[in-house]
Amino acid sequence: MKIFRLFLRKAGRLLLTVFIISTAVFFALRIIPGDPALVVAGIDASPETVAAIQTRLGTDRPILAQYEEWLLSVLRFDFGASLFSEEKVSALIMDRFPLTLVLALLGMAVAFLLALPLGVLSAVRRWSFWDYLGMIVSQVGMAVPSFWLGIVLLLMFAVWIRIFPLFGGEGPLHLVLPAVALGVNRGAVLLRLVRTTMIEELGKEYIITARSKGLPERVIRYRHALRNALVPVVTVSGIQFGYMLGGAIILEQVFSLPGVGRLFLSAIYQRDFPVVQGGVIFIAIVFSLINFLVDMVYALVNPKLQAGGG
Amino acid sequence: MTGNVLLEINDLAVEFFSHRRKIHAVRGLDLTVLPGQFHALVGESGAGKTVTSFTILRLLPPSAAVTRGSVVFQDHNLLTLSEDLMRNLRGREISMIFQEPSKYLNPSMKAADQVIEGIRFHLGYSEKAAYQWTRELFQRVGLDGGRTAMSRYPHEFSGGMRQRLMIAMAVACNPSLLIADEPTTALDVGVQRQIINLLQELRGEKNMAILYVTHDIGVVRYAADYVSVIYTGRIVESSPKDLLFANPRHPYTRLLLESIPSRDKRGSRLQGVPGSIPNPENIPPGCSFHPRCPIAQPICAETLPPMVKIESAHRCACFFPGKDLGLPG
Amino acid sequence: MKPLLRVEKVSKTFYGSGLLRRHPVRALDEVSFEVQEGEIFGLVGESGSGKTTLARTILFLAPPSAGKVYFEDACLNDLPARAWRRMRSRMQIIFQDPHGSLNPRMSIRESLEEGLLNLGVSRKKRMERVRKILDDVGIPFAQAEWYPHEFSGGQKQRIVIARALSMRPKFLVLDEPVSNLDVSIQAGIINLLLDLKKEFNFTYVFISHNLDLIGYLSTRVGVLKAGRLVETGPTEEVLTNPRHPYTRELVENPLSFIKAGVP
Repeated sequence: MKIFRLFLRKAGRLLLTVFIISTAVFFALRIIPGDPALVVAGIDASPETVAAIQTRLGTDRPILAQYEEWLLSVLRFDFGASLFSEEKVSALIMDRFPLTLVLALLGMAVAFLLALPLGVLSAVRRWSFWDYLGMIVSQVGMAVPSFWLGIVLLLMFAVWIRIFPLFGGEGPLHLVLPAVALGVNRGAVLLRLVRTTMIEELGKEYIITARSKGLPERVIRYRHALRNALVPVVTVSGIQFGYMLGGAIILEQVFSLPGVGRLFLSAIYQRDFPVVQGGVIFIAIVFSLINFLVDMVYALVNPKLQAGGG
Repeated sequence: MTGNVLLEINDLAVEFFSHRRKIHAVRGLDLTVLPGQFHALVGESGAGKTVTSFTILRLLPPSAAVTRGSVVFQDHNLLTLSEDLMRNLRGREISMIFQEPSKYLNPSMKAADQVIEGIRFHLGYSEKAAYQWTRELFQRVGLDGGRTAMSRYPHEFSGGMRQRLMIAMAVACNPSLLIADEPTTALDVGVQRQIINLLQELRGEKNMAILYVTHDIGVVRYAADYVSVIYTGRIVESSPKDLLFANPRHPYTRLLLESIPSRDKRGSRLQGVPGSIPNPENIPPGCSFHPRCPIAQPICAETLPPMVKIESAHRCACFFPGKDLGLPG
Repeated sequence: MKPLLRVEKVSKTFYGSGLLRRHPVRALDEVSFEVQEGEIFGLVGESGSGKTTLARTILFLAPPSAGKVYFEDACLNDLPARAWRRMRSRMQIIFQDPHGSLNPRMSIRESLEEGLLNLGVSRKKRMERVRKILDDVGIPFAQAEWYPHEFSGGQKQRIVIARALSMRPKFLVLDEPVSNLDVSIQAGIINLLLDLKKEFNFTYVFISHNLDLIGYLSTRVGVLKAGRLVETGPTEEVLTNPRHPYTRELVENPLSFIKAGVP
């Protein structure tokens, strides 16, 4: 099976990526000046206290032993405990990740809701009202950064017209504004792509065949053109989803949502290095996983990769 | 309309507009196809063959406009038919196959599904019945009717197989007219022959007429009942095949036949047609062939020659049909 | 008589791309034939028969995987690099698609001069030669500054032929040179090629899928099928009395004019 071989190959690449990033993170944090033990103990601490903390953190051991232990910990998804709260890093991340993920998924949904109908309409009725609307939306959407849009939305719908709550992470209503802020920006990019690929597909010869069969325009558009137009859209939306997670981390600040973004940011401020390490690896794994999933979905929608070619 | 005419095109003119230029693709074309007839429309590139066939099914791009004439199919003028009624005809009464099936098949749709959708839409078959009928069609056109073979994608087929798939799609609803636009041009000679034989068999079984658009004289001589020669958007000569090859009358037809290389002509010069096809924006007045014609007279540059009867159904649009061209050899 | 070109057991193997399985594809399998000076050797074959690969291989545009090619007295396999420049100008190739073989950003004159510049011909001589060659192929010298897109398909093929002529070759490989052209235009190009052959005493290898064309033109013919030369011989003999079943199939195909005669 071609698709199974593809799966194995991509899974191998996924593991390799995670390994390389783990290694890079490990050595990068060792190169940066500043002993984490000093950070925990404070500048005034006695050498004995610092040594004790070094032993606890394991930073007094030879570097290769540390590296080995680190790789094992990545495999076990165990990055030790936070230097401050002493909670396990993996638990901290898993506690907060669902919110970030939900936010990104909602953002993705907003992006698709914007891009698909408007993109298809723009392509089918070129130079119509819908096409111009689509162009304006995509121009503005791409130009405006999502954090700024988030602030504007907050002002409009939480401060002036109080439909949505201002801060905090309780209940689904809190996610509406950040999801819109996230989705519009990425949706604008997708909207353009949907329009272009759809126009391209509608101009292809097999559309003439479909017409010559007497099929209604609706069937020609959706069953024939859109399906082929979606192939590149799927790939790009995978990358978009990666951006979406990155964007979510910033919007969590704007909307004071307790997701992984806020966790990582405060960890960076505090030099809480187990959390930073774990956070970077976690993000890397999530990104690689998304890429992997996109590749698999792409193989499923693209018949050329399913059987021949490859 | 008489009962034994399937398709009658009268004085058809089609123009293309692009960048403020007006291109005369078809200029007063007349064509009659009888039921069950294998009618070859022969001409060189730019003569308006494809535009004519696309006009019949009303598949022209928005940049084209029919400026006059009528296309009457089974008593309906296709040019004035409502879009709904036209859709009912397409694929059901008139269907079409194309030169490059690799481009004209949907790359992401399974082979069988591309056949099934037309059957379900036009004949209202159940999923199961449509699948069964598709399987029979696959076998009829020489494709593997197995379940796995039917769910292959077009790129997994060879060129000849793809054309067979197109044919299965086209004949699925037993149309009375099949328009074939250079369907074998991209294929090897051996495969060409198989495809043409298949079309001939299907034509007999289904009493289906074929309007076969081509530039290939070999194919015409092998397969056609009736031939219409097209030059710059007009028919210049039309005739039952045997009469035409035995006694070609229009200078263009004659020079065209003289241009074909073959071993019989070894050692003698190929004739060729002097000059080149006129710019479609600026077609010469009178007989558009006159600047290239060895026997042109002043009248040819002034007056459009009408189609005149030569014998029985053999007709030719030339003031001096059959006059000696003064060719060497 | 000594052959101008001798192809000896030439094979060409391609390797498919892919990390795990690189299965070899044998495009040419021990092809041998000779071309006499001044003749037209016709090579007939369908798509995928290896025609174009053979054209490129015998000119060493893609060297053979095995086998030898001799031109005049030289073995091309062992030709030193500096001898190739002169050799290249003596052997020219013309492809099916004239559009692809002309640089769209160069005027016709520039395209024709390019090869002469490489040979170090003086400016005055170059212009003279361009004028003469354009005249030979039937393109008015007044159009020398035009660009390829301003010409029709048949004219473009004439220009490609002109460019090959400018190198003063002895031997030309013509790979489906008229297949993209209409019959009426095709005849003009074929006549031109025959006239040039007579004038300059060229030797042609003419490759085509069209047996009628090969039957009209060539003195001898080779039939290529799946990378193997299945039959060679004088054209008249092969067409009248084909030995190999595949040749027989081609000759007897009712779509060609070999058996039935031209209408």
